Amino acid sequence: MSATHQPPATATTGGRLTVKDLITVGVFSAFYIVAFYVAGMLGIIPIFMVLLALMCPIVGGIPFMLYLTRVKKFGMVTITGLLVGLVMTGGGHSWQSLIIAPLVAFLADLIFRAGNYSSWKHTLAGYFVFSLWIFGPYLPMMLNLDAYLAAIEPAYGTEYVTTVKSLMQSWFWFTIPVQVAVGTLIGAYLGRGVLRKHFERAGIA
Amino acid sequence: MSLASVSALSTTAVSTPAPWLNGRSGRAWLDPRTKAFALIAINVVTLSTNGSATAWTARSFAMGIVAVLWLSVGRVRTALTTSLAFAVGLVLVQYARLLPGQLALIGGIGTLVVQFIPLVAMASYLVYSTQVSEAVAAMERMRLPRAVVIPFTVVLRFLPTIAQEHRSISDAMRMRGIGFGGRVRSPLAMLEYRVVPLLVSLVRIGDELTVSALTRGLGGSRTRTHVSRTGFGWRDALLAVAVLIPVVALLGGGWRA
Amino acid sequence: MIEVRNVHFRYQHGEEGAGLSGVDLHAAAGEVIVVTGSSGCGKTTLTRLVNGLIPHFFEGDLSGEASVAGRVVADTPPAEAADVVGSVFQNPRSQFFTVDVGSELAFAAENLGQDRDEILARVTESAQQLGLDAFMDRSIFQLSGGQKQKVACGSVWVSRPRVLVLDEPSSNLDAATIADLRGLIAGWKGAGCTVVVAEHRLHYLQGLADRWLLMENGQVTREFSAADMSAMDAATAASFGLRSPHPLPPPQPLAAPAGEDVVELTGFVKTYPGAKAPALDIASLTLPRHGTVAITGPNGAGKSTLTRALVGLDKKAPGILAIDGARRDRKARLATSFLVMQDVNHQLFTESVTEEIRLSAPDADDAHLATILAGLDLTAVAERHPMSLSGGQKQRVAIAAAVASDADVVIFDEPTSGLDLAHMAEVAARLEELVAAGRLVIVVTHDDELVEACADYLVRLEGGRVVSAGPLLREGASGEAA
Repeated sequence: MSATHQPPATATTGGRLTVKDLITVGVFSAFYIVAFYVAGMLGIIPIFMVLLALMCPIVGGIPFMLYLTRVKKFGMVTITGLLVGLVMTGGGHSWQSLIIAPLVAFLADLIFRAGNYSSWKHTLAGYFVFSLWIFGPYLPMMLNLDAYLAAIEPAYGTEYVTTVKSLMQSWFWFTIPVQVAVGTLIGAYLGRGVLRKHFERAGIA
Repeated sequence: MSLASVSALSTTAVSTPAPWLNGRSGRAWLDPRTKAFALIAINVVTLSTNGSATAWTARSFAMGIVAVLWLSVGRVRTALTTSLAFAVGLVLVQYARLLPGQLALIGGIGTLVVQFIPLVAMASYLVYSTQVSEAVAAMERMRLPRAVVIPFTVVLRFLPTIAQEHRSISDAMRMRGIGFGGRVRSPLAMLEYRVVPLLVSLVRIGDELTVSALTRGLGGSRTRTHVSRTGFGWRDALLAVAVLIPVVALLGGGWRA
Repeated sequence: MIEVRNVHFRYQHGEEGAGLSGVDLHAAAGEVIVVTGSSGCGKTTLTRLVNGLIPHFFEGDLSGEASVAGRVVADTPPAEAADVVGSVFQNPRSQFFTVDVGSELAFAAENLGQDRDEILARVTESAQQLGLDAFMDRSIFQLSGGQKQKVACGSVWVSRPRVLVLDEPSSNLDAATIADLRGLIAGWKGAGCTVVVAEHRLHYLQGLADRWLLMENGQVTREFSAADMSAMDAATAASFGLRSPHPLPPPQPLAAPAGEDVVELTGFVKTYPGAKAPALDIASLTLPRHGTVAITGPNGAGKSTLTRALVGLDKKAPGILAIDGARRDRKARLATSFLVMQDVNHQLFTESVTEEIRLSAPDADDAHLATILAGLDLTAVAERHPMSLSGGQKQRVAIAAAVASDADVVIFDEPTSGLDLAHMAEVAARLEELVAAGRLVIVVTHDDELVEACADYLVRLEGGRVVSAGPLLREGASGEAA
């Protein structure tokens, strides 16, 4: 029990990332990764994988909205994307995330910067683009659905594979951005709600 | 030979013994970069969607490499249990379809086990066998900027922190009767109760860590010393070749994404 | 070594406390200086000035002259000052940057670009000195709080600073580790270093400190010599708002029965997976029904294991708690106990103090809640967010939640670590109120002064077993804490 002395919560916009910022980037990246894993536990089961793109931005919404108030500097989201890609590659997702995540994160960073890390419209757009990294884990399946299904056929049986195949026809890939968009909206508004209800009043946002 | 490398050699010869440092203890000495390379190779092999017999052989080979790595750090039990789980997975993949009806679905678990065990075992070996000072030395050797190295080490530091803080908060929730079947029923409220105290805690720990790190010279203008030596030796060459074998085998056998 | 002349500092963000109003501090090589005073007096701020966190990290208006080892503080950011000034903080959990002990010990010296072989030699030496050589490959997360704090001290000392600044370093430590800390400080003094310690807990620095500064409202109001301090009695110290300047004799329980109304614990045994010996082994234990029970013991004695088992949080710890003849199994205990955690931040969930209390008593009417809030002096902050409150207020919110709940067993885990005399006395008073209201109050603590102030019964644990248990004689009128 202690009367903790917290450093000022306000973040300056722009400029170089300080040690404090870099540590904050690490803390929130770690949290985002854990949140994704918790949501993704279900995604391991193929049928839930269909909804991963929706779940991920919802669960990440609260930490991400707080993150954007703690650091407001270009590069923060790019680094998070890189770290997400790195940990995903080690933690059971395909290596393609290592390329896609930093890339979309960089684009998201550009959008956030255009909105000075505070405009709500830019926040929504940037969070949407960032969340598109979820294409990474899907990519192997996307590129080669037939081979994937052939691989799981012995295990799941022909009937199951046929069902999945009909579900995952090419139009399925177009649902991913839609899912991400819906998830982004829910996650971002949830995050903003919690920001106002808790973090701003608690003095940490 | 440059003067610097001569002096480096001579310091190695007379340098103080540091039994805690990797490479001076009984642990296998591998450069973290080699281990990271092996991890990516194993990722490519195990997660490829290739279902051919070659692919299953390649995955088994990859599992064998990881088991040897665990043996090299003296963790016989980890090597055995992961190998055994992998073998059971293989059997399931091959024979589960012979089971009646819905039971055949457990073959799906087999697929998961076969794909994830080697990869997760490799990733945990990487984390287990690599000291943070080593990882930092290797990353700086790769000329990664400080803006990547510092957050990366913070992630390593905070994954266990999150687990620990979460345990305390879960305790408090159970004690206060917050939970499904308890006083709070909406899933969004549950998410809120879990996430808010956790984030507040993490932000506070992060701030205190910043203060401590600054006073320990992090981010200062001096060139950092690395007590860990990075560099490639014969073990690195051996591991690199070993992990390339299944990758090449898959490519030859019609590798797909 | 340290030259501070007429320094004024005001935090940019006002909530940080007093700041400094005209402070002077001159410290020579080989001097140990203790800075004390009640919470918010400015002693932490003074340590931050010495290590450069002020004005470079905690921003604000700084005036006056401050230099350390000839370098002007205002021109030297903390990371640059780190080769001369080493800092140890209060919280062992948040100070380490790396994950393994070896890397952490080398961390500061590596950042400072010191010679590799010297770092290796010093790390090895520090590990031996701290008794950590067997833990070098271990994750710091697996160490006890005391070991973590030793790693923090070691990491700083490996870089051989000439000035050491310690901000309430003993707050979370047990007696044995505090003795080790004293040994470390003595070693630094012997090596000619200047050591500045901001502390509430004073006794372990007796005979070591050359000068003691008392701060109030951002000013140094008194200075005591080593002789003044060793002659000072507890009552005089209390008149300055200070904790006991001398170690208390370890509280000794009387070999007397617990009385007639008793609480009985039976079968509290727990062995962690993979461990050979049980971490907790209490076949039976009798406690008084009325009064405050203190549980003490060194780190690793099984206090936390017992706490989790008592509250019913550990599904794998059996045991029956019988109160007034009613036997409570684990689930019953979970429903009827309340744990006020050491880090109360973990147990506050809602957006206002009122809601926090309501969470414990969803059916209670507003008037009842208001009474509880008033009883804990929380009326003024009823609509504030719990996380925005001070540490003491947060703790009172947790106590209010306990009062509002049905729990008749309230357990406190280290409620006074890092608290000054006045706040400790306040906690003691709260415990007595709960006892008076008929609740069974158990307090798990290292703080002998708290035990002396409020405990009626003492249980001492070692190695998971009860080594002594019995009533304590309370000198109710000694008055220094009440």
